[in-house]
Amino acid sequence: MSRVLLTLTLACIVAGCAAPQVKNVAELDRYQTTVTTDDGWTLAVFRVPPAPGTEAMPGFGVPVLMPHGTSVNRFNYMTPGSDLAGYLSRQGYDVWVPEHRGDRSSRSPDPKGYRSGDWSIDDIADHDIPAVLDLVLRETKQPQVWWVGHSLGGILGYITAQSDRSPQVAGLVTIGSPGAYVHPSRWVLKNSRHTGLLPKSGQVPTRGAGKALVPVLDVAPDSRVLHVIFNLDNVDLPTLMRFTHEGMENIGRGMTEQYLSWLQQGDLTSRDGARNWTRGLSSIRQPAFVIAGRVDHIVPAWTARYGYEQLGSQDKTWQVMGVGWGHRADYGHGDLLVGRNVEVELFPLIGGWLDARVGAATATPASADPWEAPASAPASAPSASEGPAAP
Amino acid sequence: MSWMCDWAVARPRRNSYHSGRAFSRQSGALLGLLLLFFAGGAHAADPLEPIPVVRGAAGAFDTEVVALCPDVSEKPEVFLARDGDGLAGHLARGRQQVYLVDPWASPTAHAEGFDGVVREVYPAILKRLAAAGGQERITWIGHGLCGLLPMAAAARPSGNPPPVRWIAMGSPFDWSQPAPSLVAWVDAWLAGKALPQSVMRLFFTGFREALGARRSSLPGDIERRGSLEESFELHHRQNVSRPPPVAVLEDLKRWFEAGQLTDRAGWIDYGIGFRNVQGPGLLVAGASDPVAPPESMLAGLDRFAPEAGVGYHLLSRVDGDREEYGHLGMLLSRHSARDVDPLISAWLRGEENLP
Repeated sequence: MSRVLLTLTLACIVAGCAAPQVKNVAELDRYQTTVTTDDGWTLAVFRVPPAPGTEAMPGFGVPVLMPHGTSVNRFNYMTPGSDLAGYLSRQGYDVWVPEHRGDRSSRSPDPKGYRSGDWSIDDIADHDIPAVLDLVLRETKQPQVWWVGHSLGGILGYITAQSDRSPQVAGLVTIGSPGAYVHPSRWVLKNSRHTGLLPKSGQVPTRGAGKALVPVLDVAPDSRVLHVIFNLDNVDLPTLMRFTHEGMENIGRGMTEQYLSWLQQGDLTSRDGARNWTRGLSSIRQPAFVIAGRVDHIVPAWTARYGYEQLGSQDKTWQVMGVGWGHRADYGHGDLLVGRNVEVELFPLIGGWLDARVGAATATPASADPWEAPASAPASAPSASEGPAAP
Repeated sequence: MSWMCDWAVARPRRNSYHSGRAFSRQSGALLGLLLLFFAGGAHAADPLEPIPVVRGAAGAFDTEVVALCPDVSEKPEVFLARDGDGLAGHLARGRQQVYLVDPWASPTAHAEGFDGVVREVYPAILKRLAAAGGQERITWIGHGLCGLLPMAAAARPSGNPPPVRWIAMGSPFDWSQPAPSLVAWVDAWLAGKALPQSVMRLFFTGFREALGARRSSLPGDIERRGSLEESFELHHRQNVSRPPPVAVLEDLKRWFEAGQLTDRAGWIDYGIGFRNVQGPGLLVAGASDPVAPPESMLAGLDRFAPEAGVGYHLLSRVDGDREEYGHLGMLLSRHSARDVDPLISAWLRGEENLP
């Protein structure tokens, strides 16, 4: 049991663990499409189009790309009660939730490739995200997307916004995403030493560990291990139990190794060390909204704050989710998306921040500055009669 | 066995906090009232006079002097408010010469704000501590704004306060993004309005009610009434707080707007003191503290000279503590007796591996 817990704990150093209740899978399938990356992986992409009656809203038809965190899947954003994708859809946004390589929905060109677990964050950033971006921009006929990402999803936003794909990103919302692993806690330092417990190849079985947690949740609702991931005073137990059944994915060993190297060195870098994404934060010019949980122990607020400080954006906003900031509870990592009150406390902040900027962004004239929108004028939002493209 | 006799006969004395362990535990509330009465008399006489806290035998002058300094809106008795004992009692039982000091009650603080405290009050208190304790070696333990005084004093070009060891508990070093509840609290005081809901949101985060086998960490009188905002406000008003000097609140407001810690004339950047201050020092942050969030304290940690020997300790459940400590939780929570007091003691003893 201790090994299971320790493995889970190690995995959750890096896990964007969130996403609770299971939405009707058949309903989700209705939104699903697929995309093939340039190295042959097939990925599922879920589209939540603007809700009916939102045509007059400022965000109508504006594409929002929402990559999910580590060790979770689309349920990160698409579940009743904590449905950020649905919330933004009801604000008129055209929401796209891609899944990453290694998720159950993905297919590797080489069957051994899936089992090996040898994919990294570089692979997701260099192959998965460009393919998804191409799909979204093609389908929406828009030149840019707005990026909303939790945990790894936000890191991928940072990476993309400093890559040659930067002009395709209009702005960033990162939720519990670190700019660097500065000042690791005593807990992280202690547990990151136990790398010998990680599998030599394949995947870290966080999906199975999640299911093993169900009885722990039942008998130990005040568990300190779980407290690493969630502020248990801010989430509902049934939500957590449902989440562990459907919302979790395994983590590839390659990704785990990359996270551990980040914990040791502090900066976020590519697997070969050639690219330093922490240093690159200063090159980002897009508007950015950086959100941190007051008692997030996976991505402590000071690591998110470090990213905020480093960003080169002139328009950047810092938000802590906690009692002192006017909220009903101090938020942990997972409850930034599945907390009891996210629908009334967090999601409106994100929607409001986007609403205040999407109009200005689409009205910005073309500029030669590579950090601004490309020369081609943005396409107008689809009219109500057109509706979104069929998935 | 003489020390046991000392405990047995110990009683409150004028101008000091002198009590026995058993006595204080059994009659904490009554004793607290008595002490407040006597302490009030001492303050009226001279607000700069350090108040000794004695547990057991008094007069062990071979030990170092430890000064406990409250945040700007707190009474010095906050260090004794946890069941009539608190960090002050814990340290006093460890044979430290413990004194409560109160720079915010001085006329200078009310007239000149933080600048006056740094320039005049803080050095004066250190001198009196040295005289009262018969020791040059002083350890300054400051809660909130008091934790900044050693650094601010080190930033003054003409200042030359005696070196101290120091601990800053819940002291904000980054003023650029204050928590909205802190800004609201300062605005409310300056406007002369009550803002009871901000008291809980600002000072009483992290407290945990009983759940199954888990013990409550709430102060006893709040627990008895139920954890309502009004109960926190009442407890805060009766046991912990007193009106802060308006001049200091105006300083806070100015720092929020400027995003940095400067004097009123704009000549002195107190942040310079981070590089000048001597150590060793310890920063103690509460994981849920909106007054001094961990990221605010870490912003300070990165600015100290490496040779100063400044450490950092986060009070957090995930690191083995019993709650996500907030601003007053680190002093008043029932759990703090097991999590915070031993940490401070171990650091004072010079232990490298803190609990």
